[in-house]
Amino acid sequence: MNRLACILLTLLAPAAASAASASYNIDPLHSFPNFSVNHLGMTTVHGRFERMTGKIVYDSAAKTGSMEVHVPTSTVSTGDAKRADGVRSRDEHLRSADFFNASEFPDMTFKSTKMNFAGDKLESIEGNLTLVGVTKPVKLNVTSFNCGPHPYTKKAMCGAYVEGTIKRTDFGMKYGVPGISDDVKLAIGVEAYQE
Amino acid sequence: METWLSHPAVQAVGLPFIVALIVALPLARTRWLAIAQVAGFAVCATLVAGWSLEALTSTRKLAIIGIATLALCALVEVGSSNWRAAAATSAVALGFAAAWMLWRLLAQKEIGPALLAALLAAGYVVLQAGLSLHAGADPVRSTAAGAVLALATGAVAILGASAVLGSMAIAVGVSAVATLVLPWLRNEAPPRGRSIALPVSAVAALGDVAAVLVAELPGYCLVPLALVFPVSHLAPALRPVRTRAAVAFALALIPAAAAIALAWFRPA
Repeated sequence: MNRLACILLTLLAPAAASAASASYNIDPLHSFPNFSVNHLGMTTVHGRFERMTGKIVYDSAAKTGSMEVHVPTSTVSTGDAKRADGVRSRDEHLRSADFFNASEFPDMTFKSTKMNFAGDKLESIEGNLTLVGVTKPVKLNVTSFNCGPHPYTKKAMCGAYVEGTIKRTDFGMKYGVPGISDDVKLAIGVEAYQE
Repeated sequence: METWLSHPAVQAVGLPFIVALIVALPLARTRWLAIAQVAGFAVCATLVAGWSLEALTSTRKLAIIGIATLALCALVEVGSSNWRAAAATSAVALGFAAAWMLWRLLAQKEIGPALLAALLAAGYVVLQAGLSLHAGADPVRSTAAGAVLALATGAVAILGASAVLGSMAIAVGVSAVATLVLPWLRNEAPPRGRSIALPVSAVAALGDVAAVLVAELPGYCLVPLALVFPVSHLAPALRPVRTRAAVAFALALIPAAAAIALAWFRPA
């Protein structure tokens, strides 16, 4: 009986492990990287990128996982897309070489290197952010992370909201500092469906 | 101090002018006044772009090429016995430099459009460098034209491309103006140096093609800018240097103003 149990456990173990680790594709319609930056010490301007794709691998049992995100920098949006008088809009300026340099560096990526857990709770994600061709380590704090079935379709999904702060000059984005602050707050909301 | 140094007017105009003027003082009676232009430009490039080689953007490549024009100036001045060959070599080298500067962008295009863009960009840079070397026979007129070209490049870059690019172009333009201050005060032309306007024209031309290809400046804005050197050359070679410089400036401003107007009124 014991031998039979051992054999069954040995056979089922890999299946159980793969069941715990799942891959999720980011839903671009419900996932946006937002940012905010102080302007002239007076107010905070908010913006976001309109497109984000990527993949999350998560293993709740092993408390491991990974996250890879791609953001087309040309999709930056701050509510000033086009001006009727022909003057360059803020979004056009953000796409220029002064900021995201979207024509030379069309892609911004984040690749996680470590997921940190506090008990069963995913606390933070460490990884490398590549922006304007420069790669720097970044730590994102996870303010919420939930996995479960979609309430209507019952499809397995995960959702997360992560926050962090970067210094844009670390990525060579020097224009306008300190009037436009060096510190940029990131807030990324993600929904992802199991593959 | 940091706030002061981060002010765009200080970065693009104030400091480059002062540095170029200081460097120009001991060089005023030599053929090496172009060094002062590069010094002023380098100050601005340091402040607005920095010298980090991580992520070699087109702007940083422009800064590097701007400094490297000193080597081309040396080639032209030292090889003055056969200056035409040296000038042709310098102009062609700047054409290749333009392709290098734009490489990251060109690599994202299909081979045909990439080749066309590279040829047009290199051709424009070779043209401007060649015109400046040709005009170098009269250092007053060529420096005035180079300064106006760079200032116009700065204006169109700010309007249609990038403020950093614009700042760098304006910085080299005001540095060129600074090199004319002493000749102006003395009312005496500087010694003939064929390469006197090479750094300013090279940086301006590279800035122009970067503004078109990396950003959204319409290419037709460069057509009037190609006329800056030829038009300023119409200024009579008057003996009073002040008058000659003023007329050359005024004439160069005509195509420069046309380019700025085209950038200003470009379709939304």
